Amino acid sequence: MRRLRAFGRRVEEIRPAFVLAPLLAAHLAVVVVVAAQARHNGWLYGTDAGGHDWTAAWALGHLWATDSGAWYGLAALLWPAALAFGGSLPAALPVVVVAQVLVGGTAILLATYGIGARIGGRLLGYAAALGWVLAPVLSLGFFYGGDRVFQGVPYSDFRGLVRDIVVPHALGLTSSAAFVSLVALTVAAWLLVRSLDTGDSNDVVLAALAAGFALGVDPANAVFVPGVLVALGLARRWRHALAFLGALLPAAAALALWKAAGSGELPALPGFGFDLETLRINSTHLRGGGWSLLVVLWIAVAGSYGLVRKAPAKGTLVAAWLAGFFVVLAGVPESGSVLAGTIFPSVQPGYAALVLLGAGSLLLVPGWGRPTRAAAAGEHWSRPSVAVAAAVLALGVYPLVLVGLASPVPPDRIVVKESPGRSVPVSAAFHLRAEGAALSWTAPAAAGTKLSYRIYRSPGPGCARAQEGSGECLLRMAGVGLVRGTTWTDLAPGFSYRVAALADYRVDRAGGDLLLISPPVRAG
Amino acid sequence: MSVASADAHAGAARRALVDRLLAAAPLLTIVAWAAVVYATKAAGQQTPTLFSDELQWTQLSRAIAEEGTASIRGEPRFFESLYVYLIAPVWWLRDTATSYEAIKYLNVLVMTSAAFPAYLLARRLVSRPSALAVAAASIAIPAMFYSLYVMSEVLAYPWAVLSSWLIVEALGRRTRAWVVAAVAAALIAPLVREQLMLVPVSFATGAFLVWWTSPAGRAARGRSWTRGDTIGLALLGFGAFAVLSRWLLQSNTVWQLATDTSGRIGAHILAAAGALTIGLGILPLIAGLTGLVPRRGEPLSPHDRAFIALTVAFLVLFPLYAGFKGAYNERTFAIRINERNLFYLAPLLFLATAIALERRRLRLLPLLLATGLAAYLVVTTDIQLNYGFFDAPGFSIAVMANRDLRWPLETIETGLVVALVVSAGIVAAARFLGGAARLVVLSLVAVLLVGWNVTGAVTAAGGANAAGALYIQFLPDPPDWIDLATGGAEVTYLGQALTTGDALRTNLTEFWNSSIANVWSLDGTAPFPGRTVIPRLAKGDGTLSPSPDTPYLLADAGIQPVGEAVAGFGTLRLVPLDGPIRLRESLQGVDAETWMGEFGAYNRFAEGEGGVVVVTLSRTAFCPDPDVAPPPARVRVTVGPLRIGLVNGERQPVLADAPWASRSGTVPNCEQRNLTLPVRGAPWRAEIQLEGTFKPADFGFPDTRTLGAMVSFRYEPARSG
Repeated sequence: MRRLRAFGRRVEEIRPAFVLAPLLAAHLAVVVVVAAQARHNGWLYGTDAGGHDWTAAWALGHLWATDSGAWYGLAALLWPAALAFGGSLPAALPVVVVAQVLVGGTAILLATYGIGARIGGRLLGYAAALGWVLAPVLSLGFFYGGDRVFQGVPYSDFRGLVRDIVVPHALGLTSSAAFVSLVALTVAAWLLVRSLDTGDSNDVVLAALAAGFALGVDPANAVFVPGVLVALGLARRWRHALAFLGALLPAAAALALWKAAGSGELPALPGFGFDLETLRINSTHLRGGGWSLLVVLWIAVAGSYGLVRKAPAKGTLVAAWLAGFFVVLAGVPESGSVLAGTIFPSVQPGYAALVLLGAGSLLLVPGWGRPTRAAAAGEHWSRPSVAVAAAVLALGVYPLVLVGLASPVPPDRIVVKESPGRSVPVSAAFHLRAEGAALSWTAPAAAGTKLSYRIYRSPGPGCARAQEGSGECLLRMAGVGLVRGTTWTDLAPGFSYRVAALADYRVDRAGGDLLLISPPVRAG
Repeated sequence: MSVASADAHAGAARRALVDRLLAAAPLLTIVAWAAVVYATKAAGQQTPTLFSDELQWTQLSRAIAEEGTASIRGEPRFFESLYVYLIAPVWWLRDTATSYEAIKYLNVLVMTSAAFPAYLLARRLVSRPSALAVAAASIAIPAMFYSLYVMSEVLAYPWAVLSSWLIVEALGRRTRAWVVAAVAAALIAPLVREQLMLVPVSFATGAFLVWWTSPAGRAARGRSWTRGDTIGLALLGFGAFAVLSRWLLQSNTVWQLATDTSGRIGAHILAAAGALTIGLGILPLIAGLTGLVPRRGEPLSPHDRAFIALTVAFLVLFPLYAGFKGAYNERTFAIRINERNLFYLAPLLFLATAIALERRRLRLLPLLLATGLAAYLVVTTDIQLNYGFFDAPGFSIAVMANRDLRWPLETIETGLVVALVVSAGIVAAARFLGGAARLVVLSLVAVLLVGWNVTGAVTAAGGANAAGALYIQFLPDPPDWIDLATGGAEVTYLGQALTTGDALRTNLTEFWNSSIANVWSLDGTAPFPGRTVIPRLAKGDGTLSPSPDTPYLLADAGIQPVGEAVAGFGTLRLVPLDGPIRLRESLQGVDAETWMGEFGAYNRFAEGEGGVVVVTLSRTAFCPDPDVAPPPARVRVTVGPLRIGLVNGERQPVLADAPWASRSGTVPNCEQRNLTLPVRGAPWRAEIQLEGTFKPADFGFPDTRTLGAMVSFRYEPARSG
């Protein structure tokens, strides 16, 4: 034990950059390996690759607010790319993915280290960062491959699901709100933990702006906020708690404006329909598809104990962060289900908390986890720093102004298919033509992603209004063909036609997620 | 030494012996009275009722008595319990009835002997009167009615108490003799009953806890060690267990099945604990748990620490075992309330109760928590009112209230809540009582608890007696009629289509008649325990293979062997055998009530030189309202030579290609028809194809079977001349 402690002390004395740089390199190596191993189609990984958020970004680039279930946060970030690539998500994916992996991935790793180090010293920070590096590999080992029956329910290749969909999402290989939420909340948590040490109001405001941006990406991230308030309360930072709430107001205002602009109505407060039975069912399915629910529960409980004992306020923040996503949201039926594999994006913003709790279980080793006696700095107000000013402009004012300028989408610029979550930009890049008995079009830019095309047909325009006051087109056309080429030869005179580009992450499969759609043409 | 001094010495020795006998008199009296009560109930137990358990222990012990090695139905078995060696010599007595009587009385003596180690353990920690009360309560618990059964629990209970006493002494005294004795007892415990593997584990756990709380343990941990470190270490240990339980223990089917439904483990623990709490009288749980937490600054003797450590280990491990067992049984067998796996806790809870009340070791927070747990158990436990609920005898007190006081369930539940409140009140009051008042309370508690428990035990035993009296009605007098008829020569039982009731009767017959060496069936429905064989038809003359090599066959319903019966009871006929079993006739597709569905057949293997077969088809037992009645059944009967063919890969009797005759007809509802067909010399076969089956359930009857008609076959030889 003494040797172990001496080793720990030696590691703590090393400059963090010398440890974090190799960890970052290892993380990027893991990302590259995952990118190679997961099934993908060009740069397209996973299903439901953030299409409606992308559509919202494209719309916001035109100063339109969509009513398609997307929120303003990601749109405010991505609209320049959406405009630059003509609304084609596959064309923009190389830029988006590389930026997410390099910026977002690095931010998560460093923030995870920062939180761990501020709770239990550098060694815990390194353990947490290493946990983030290894988490993709461990998660692949955790879930069962092949088919399995548990309590009469069949589970089909959960390891494949995690490899192809869950891990690429978590590492930023897809354009998704969940990854950006994860980055924003991890950075917010780090800033808040730092504020608990420094007592500096600037850190609190920065944390609130980051958390507010996360709310703009997805309001469900609000489950993060109670943990923040409890942590500040435990540290008796009452004024900081008020400051945190106050700094969230721009985000709340932007959300309200966004919904008002998109649907023409002020939104009602969202509610969480938590249901214990849903949580129980999801837990049971996690047992069925995964190696051991008990081990996951143990990580949550043991890690929480370790972190809370070491640093009560900071530990509570991390524990509540995990509970918000893995208990509260996992118990909301709309969050999806483990069995269908649809719940993972909903709980993804809590992944860093799970890693931190896993590292926190190391604090159970006798002697290591004893409370830190160092006196924390008192709560104080600082003059706003340059960073705060920049953050207020970038994360507070800029989105608010952008959203404030937005108006409802004009008719036939966005098409909604089946549900608000499946909207796509209407793009002239197809150059769709109906000549004689043939329909032909130009393949939109896709940066190596192999596309297929669905041909839609209807006697009339094939558009219904998605919602009162909305210009979005709810597609009312029948799919009559799916092709890999760019022609279609079975035209019915008098009918309207559209062509939509689709792609599946399994390159050999035609069809998949709807990415872009043409304006209608009428066959002569 | 002078003569006078030698006389004085001898006199002193005699007085010392007399003193010791007098001192032992109260305990001996308690044990004797308890033995008398249970012996009375044992006398009323006319036959075993718990199958296949009792038959299994019987078979094993009989085999040891007769052959020196354990076996069931001739099949060698690995060692299962020392209990079978304990009762084996009893089978050397005159006959089964005598041996069975003797075993029950031996059981009573063995189980009531638990009072001795219970007293010795208690005497180490409480006053003599309290120790006597603990001993009395320990042999008054409802589970004492297990002494009426041929079960390993009979020996397991006193052995668990003996082990507890030796372990506490070993951990308290730490002398070589006590440690050797405790280790030996703990290691032998799993040989008495598998569940008692928990005894050595508890010993190890208790020893660790004693060390942990000792100065040596504190020194090893260092001065800076805090309670938080202990919690962290415990969490780490649980994490290691969580990983191991998936990594290593999943290869164990029992573990896997139990933990796959781990949510049920807790439910089974609570149900079993609820039954135990009610059975013991509620107060022992409240006071017993409270008594495990010493007062602030209370000086603890080494025995105190040892007792607390061992009891804590028992209180954790035994409920966990009960939970796992319950969850496993639920997946593989049936839902049971496994108080049967928990009652070993009773003596320790009684002793902890005595300590709590006698020493006023009643801290408020533990008292509130224990009361809360007891309240939760009393309120949430589903009371079972079956008369003779084997797995959870703790409910017997409720059964008594229901049967004797005629209380409905709601009143019983209210009564238990009142008992809970009174118990909590007594324990709370004991915190403040001293001197004579405390003695009065102690005495009152002892009397009430022993009374409550004995009431439960007597009621449970009454239930067992009632079940035995019911079962014996379906056995002949004497029940060992086969042993008597064969003079002890071996018998092979052969049946078919055995229902649960048939299986019970077969188990009972096998218990009472040790001459039954094999239990076979033609269709795999022969009951456990032990090996069963499905003989196949080897020849067209009805010869079955393999040959049982026994001089007698006990044929059951539907089995018609060649030969004359020398004895019989009901559908059972004892037929001498000279070689392999040879069937004279057999039925296919016809159940015990003679109903057939779409197909039925009759095989005649022997005894018949030609004549006619009269096939009687009837729906006289089915007379529905004509407005909704199903149409008459249409039947076609075909007879012809029988040959052995392969059906679904098995050798079965089938009709040869050239049948002799066939007849068709209808069987209207509520009517009967006979069809007569000519037959030649055996072997031959008659097959019935039926169209127009019905389900009684569709016509307002509870029966969900698909039925065609009731059928019987009568062979009439040709008249000579």
